[in-house]
Amino acid sequence: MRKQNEATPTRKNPIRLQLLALMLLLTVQSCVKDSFKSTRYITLYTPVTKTLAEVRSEAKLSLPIPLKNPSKIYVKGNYLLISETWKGIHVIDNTNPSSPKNVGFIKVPGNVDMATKNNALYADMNRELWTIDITDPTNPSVKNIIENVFPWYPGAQPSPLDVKIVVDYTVKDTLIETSGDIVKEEAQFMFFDATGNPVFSNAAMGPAGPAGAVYGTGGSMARFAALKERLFTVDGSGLSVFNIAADMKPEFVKRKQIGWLIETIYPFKENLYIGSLNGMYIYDLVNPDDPTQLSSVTHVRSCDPVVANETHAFVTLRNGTRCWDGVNELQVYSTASLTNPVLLKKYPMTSPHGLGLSGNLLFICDGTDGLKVYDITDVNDLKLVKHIKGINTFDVIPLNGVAIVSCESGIYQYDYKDPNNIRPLSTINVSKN
Amino acid sequence: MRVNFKNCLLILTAFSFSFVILAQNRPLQYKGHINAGVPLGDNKTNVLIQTIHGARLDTWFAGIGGGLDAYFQQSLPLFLDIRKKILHTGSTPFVYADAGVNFVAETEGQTFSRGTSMKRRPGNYYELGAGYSIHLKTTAINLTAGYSYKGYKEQNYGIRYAPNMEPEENVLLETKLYHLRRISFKIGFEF
Repeated sequence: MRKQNEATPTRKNPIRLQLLALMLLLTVQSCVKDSFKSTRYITLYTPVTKTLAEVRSEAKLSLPIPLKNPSKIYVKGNYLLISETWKGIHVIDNTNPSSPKNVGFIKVPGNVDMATKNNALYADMNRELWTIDITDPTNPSVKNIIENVFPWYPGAQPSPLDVKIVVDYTVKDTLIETSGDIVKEEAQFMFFDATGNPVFSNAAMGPAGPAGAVYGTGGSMARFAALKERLFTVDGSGLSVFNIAADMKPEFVKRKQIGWLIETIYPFKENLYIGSLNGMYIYDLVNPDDPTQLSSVTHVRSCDPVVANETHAFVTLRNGTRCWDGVNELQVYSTASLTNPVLLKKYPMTSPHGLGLSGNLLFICDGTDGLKVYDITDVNDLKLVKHIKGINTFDVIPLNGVAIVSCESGIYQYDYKDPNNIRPLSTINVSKN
Repeated sequence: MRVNFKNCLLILTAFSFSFVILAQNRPLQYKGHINAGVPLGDNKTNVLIQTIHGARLDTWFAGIGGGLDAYFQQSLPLFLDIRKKILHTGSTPFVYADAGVNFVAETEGQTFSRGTSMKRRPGNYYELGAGYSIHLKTTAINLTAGYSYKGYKEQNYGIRYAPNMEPEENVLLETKLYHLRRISFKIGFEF
């Protein structure tokens, strides 16, 4: 009996212990959870569309709007034309550079580049080349449209006129919050969008052509250049030629394949200097309808606008997302022989973008490191004349003693008539709203 | 129930101050702990090693500890430690509480292209548990089991593509907060 009584508790204890262990296990399981909370910062872009007919009918001077995302700058007489990326062109009366006046805006959705000859403004509108009469820049009118000449633009030529095209985007910032359990360390994958990353500013400089023809002046990061009665445009791999002998009625001549990753075009005298991610090409314009390659130089893969004078070519190389892991430097080439340019010297830079030449002064937009002005009398020993810091610079046009600088925060103008006393004249601020 | 980390740290700090004040009329004795163990949780189990140094007053101990915690994301927790022996005997059960900051060992993560980066920021660290101390003359072996939490923040920077704009590099695209909850089993040497 006594043995049985003693045995009873020993049979109950294991059950209690098991229950206790089970409860403990359940408690532990509910507490022991690895989790995460993720917050993604998303910007939503919603397209705004209009029919092609509407877009064409609205290509007039509208009320001035604030600069928001300026890229190309172009000088046409006393007027400053500033491209509002993919939206249109600001018209600025720059008669007095100390007090520029924003007089209006020409709606050209999809516009990236422009060039002028006499009173004709040539601008791309998606796949089309528009010729806009700016005899009176305050009353522009579209005189001619050539369809489907820029086939690298995504999509097809809109046709008929009631087809809707994207003219703008509404932007909204938002957050996406997610949470969950961590099962195992997550592999990290990066996906890259293949959407366009439009190239910056640009234009044509160094007027050269029949007497009487007046070409506008643009920056170094141009993809349009006008000289010798021709408009030259570059795209990713080709050079297109338009005959603009009749200002308001350009004619498409041809497009020739010239390489890959072409970015900028710079006209000087009888030549075109073309910058690509891989190098620089020099073309002659003996026959302007069929430019002929004289030479090419290759460099590490970087973005590289180029400017030139009679004896030298100046190339800035920049790395970046689109520009690959190249270098940040200025390269100086001797172009005494255009068929055999020789690299003379390299100068380290921070993040060089556009550049401009005026006499013995070389202006370099060094990105976040501001604007640098060098004396190039001795190209093997450039002397820094002025370093303007505190602005994030993209492109520059030095012309007649006034340097017009396109920056992230606006368009700045500097008086450089006295290189030892370069001073600010005015600023057209970019609107933050 | 979710433990409020700030309150936990506040209580521990207050307790440490009280401990120092109480100790003014009593003999304080230096004590060090070296612990090694395993944290068990959802993810791959790994090791943790820690060392704690402080002072003992009767059945109380307060100190500062640091260590290596290799669970999920290798980290270096730095914490305040308070423990209380239940009995006045040599070998005795005890309870303990830790609270501090969890510093991630690798503060920058690997990314695969330029314009992208990943940074890890410190998070909270706390542990609550109980154990048994086996007395060995002037030293002791401690066996513990506790509920342990460590957290950290991961910030992913990348390239933001926008229609008709230059791509923007190193933009903060995502913030991730990691909460890692484990049961830790440790064996320690007290000297």
